[in-house]
Amino acid sequence: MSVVEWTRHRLTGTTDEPVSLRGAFRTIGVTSFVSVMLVATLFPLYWTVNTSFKPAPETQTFPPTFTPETFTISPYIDVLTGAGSSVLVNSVVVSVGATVLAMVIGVPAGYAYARNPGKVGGKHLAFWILSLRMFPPIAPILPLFFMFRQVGMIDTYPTMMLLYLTFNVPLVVWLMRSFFQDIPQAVEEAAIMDGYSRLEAFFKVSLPLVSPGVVTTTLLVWIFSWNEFQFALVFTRNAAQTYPVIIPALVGGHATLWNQVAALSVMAMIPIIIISLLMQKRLVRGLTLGAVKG
Amino acid sequence: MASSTDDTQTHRSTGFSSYVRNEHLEYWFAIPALLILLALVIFPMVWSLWTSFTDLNLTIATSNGAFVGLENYETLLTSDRFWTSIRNTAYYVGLGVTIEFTLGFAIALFMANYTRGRVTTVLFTLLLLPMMMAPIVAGLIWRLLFQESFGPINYLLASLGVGQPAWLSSTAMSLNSVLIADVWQWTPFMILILYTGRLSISEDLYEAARIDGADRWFTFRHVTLPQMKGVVAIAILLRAMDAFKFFDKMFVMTGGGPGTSSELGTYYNYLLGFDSFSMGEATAMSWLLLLFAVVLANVFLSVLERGEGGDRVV
Amino acid sequence: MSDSLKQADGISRRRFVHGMSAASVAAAAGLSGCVGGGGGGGGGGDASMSIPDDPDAVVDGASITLAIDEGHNTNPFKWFSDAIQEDTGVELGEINGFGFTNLFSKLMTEFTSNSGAFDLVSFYPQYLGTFAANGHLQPLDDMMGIDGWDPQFDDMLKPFRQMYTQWGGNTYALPIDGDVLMLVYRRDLFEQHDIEVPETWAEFNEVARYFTEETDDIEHGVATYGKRGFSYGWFLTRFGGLGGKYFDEEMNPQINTEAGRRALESWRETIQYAPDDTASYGYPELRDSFTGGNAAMVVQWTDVPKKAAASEATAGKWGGAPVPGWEDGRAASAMPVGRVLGVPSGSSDEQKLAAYRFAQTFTLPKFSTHMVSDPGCGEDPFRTSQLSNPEAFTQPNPLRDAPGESVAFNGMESAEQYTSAVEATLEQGYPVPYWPGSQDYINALDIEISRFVSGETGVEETLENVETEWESIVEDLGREQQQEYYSNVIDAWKNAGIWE
Repeated sequence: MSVVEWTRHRLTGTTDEPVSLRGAFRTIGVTSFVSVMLVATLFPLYWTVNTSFKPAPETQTFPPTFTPETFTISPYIDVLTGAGSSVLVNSVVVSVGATVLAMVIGVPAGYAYARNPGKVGGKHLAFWILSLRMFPPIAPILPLFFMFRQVGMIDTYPTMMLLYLTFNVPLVVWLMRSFFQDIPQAVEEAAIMDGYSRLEAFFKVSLPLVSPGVVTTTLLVWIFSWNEFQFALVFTRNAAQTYPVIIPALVGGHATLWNQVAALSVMAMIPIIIISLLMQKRLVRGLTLGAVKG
Repeated sequence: MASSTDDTQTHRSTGFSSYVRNEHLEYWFAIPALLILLALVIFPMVWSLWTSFTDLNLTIATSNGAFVGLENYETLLTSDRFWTSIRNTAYYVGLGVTIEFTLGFAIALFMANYTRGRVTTVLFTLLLLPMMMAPIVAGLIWRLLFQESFGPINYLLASLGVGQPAWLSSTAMSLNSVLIADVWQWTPFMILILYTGRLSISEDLYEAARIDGADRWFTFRHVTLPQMKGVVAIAILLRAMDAFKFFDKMFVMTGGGPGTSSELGTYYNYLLGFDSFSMGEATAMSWLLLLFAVVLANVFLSVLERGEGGDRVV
Repeated sequence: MSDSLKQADGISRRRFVHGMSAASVAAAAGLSGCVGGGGGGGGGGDASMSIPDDPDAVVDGASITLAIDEGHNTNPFKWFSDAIQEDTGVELGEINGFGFTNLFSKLMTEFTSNSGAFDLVSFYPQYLGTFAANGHLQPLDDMMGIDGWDPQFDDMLKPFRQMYTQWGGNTYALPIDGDVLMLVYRRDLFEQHDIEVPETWAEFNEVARYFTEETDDIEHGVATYGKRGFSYGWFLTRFGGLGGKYFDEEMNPQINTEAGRRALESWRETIQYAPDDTASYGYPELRDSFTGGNAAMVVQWTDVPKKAAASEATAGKWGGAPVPGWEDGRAASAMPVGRVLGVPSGSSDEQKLAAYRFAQTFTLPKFSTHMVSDPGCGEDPFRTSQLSNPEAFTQPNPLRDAPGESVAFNGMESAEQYTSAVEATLEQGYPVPYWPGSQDYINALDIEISRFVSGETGVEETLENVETEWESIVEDLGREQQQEYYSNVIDAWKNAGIWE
């Protein structure tokens, strides 16, 4: 195969189209398209990584340097020895805890609404639960702030995990409902015929069957919890402060430490990148709230 | 398909555990979630509604929140700043979703027609990254890019001999700059949904159109679009609802400035609550915002429900 | 499938939803009952504390958490904490930094939720009234009386002593940063072009125009603050010199007056000669426009000279002077920001003692003189002893391991020029409101000013907007109460010699 044919094959999946002007245009078109997409998507990320390895003065030079002239990992060290490590740890604890809590509460509810919605408020209630996700966070934050301060539960891990349930539980319920609906009830009925109780059937039959869906939902819930900003801004001080809160604090003010903020951002993005690489197809369904099967 | 009956039970006898496990399983399964939502969302929202009729202000130690009727709503609805923030929000949601949709659709169709296999996979993976990162981080990144004195964008524009806009420091551009960051982050969302939706259209339809000698534009209008109506609706509505909650990027990129040029409803609401601590006004505004969100949500839900009544949408 | 069971089962959908709604309304009503009286429920601890017999022993080994705005102003705490720990036994455990313009929001959120996160808070004195009157801060007078724990108030410059520390007859805060706006200019360029230091705003604009339009030596003659947060300070600097006042005795706003109009018109002309993006300039941008050699003059805080002396582009080329005034008025330097240390009232007694001890030691000349003379931070002089000791500004900071970077000025001449300029500036200080609720006035003024600078609104509109908003704020907060606060504050200001 010639290079041209090979390239065309790689990009467009065809081998048998004769070499023609049209084919060439097609190849060029697709190549440019892919390149533009690559650049547009990745340039901001690349710039952040670039900035995160520069010493502070170099972040403010004009013209800006596209690769660090003085490569240094001191921004990372500074962040980690400063506030960075504690906020990252807090983020991990809060996001994992919130995810576990949301799944434990939400998965069974999703099952209930998939199998027998009438018993628990019907389909309308299910839709209504979903609509909770559409509230601007400030709406519940205001009264929740009032409530939580009355009981002195500000700036603690349990507080944040509880609060994140407000938008995670609707998501879990809705997604798991969609996944459970995919399993024919016949499977469960067969198990019941065999003498299992419905509870046993749920754990031993239904749950294993939706495990891919469970994985997807868990990851999505974790991502949203990891990225959450508004609740953390209001409800944390230092004990449970997650990384999104200190990012704007480091920017503006007296002198922005762009390299450190960039380093913190890069570190926060790493789990996201890993998950995205592993899970792309799965995530579509979750992101579209089950409307698109992906 | 009835749920369990007692006849087929061989292992379990009657009693509470059987009750839980069988008859009212759904009930017990759903109650924790409902209770949580009741406690964390419903109660608070009712309290917030009540507070919106008071003049509660946390910076005044003696403030008990006396009843003032619709005064807060009145103040807001006649306030310039409120309407500026709503206007900005409408501009941002409207223009943002439109751009993201148009761009996303074009790219999705292009990908569906011209890319295959590994390339598609690679692109998908790439496209996920902006969406998955924290909006506050995305905002930070774009603030870095938009830096006027030492940012790469203005530098590149300068070397091309083109004018360099004052991205974040001019009242005209500030909202647009935030919009650009949002387009970068969420167009991939549109692409993914629309691409998947496009792919699920049966090839037979396109075959038939081709045999009939239809050109591209015709095919698009009479095959692609109608088939994708549902997906398009979902995509736009989902995105609009999320856009409405916008806060993080604006917070870190412009702080609502310069002046109030990029101040959105959610941010002004936040300031009312946590800078002025005027809880009465803040809760009133959040209810006004909720009205908008509820309207949007209802449209979305009815589309979804229509889809669920028969088959799923896609 | 499900429908047949809907009615047969005990819980029908409608009843379910009804039950839920009823429960929530009932609970919320109950909640609002107990919350209704909780306007100040979250904040306020016990204001009277008992002083132990041996306070030094009590605080030995204690560890405190500090809340402060993020950035270079945290540096002195890092520099001195070891030495202070040696002296007092109190350890500075953690420094929590917040955004420059978010400090009020953060602190107030904390005070109203009282989570005990901070033992020592640094804030801008404008918040003093609001914090103190709501019981969020611990009165310090008892602790100040402890042997060896005296913060040496006599040495504090009078305006700061009056405005930054007292409320309702008690002391609530210790100053660590005296802010006042001054004029910083390029002495070399002025000499080169034979320009005199402007003494009126008209001259100021003329000089700005000259440098921007008629010479190529420098891009702009002037740059100005515009960003949301503190832009109001630059308005007050012009407004105050014309005898502008905030309110009259009946608490009617006095911003929409001739003084306000002239101030804004003069400022609008200044903006013409400033860089295009000046409307977004906050502290760093404004400072950098001077120290980076882009503007020939800036009106800025008094820490700019030491930054200018440390910058390549302006080392040895800067000059400092009081801000311009009006021919038919005077010069007035607004005093926005500034920093003080306070102790939240919700902490335990031991923590309060430890926090106060740390703050008191920090503010002593022994440490604070090194702080204000070090360009590595933004803290400005606030003690008489600091201003009468120019030599300190030429010496390195012994408590810091970068002695080369810690020298403010290379020669006594610069140092003396600096201290005398600051002294002169302070004599014409124009104070910022700091009674309870003043945060609302300041916010309203600041938003309108920021919009004005960015060109969103014109002179008349801005003044009218401020007047309308201030009117409604006065109504909301209670006119009588506000009148009382205002007149008390005016007395304090007259006492300090900064109010006519």
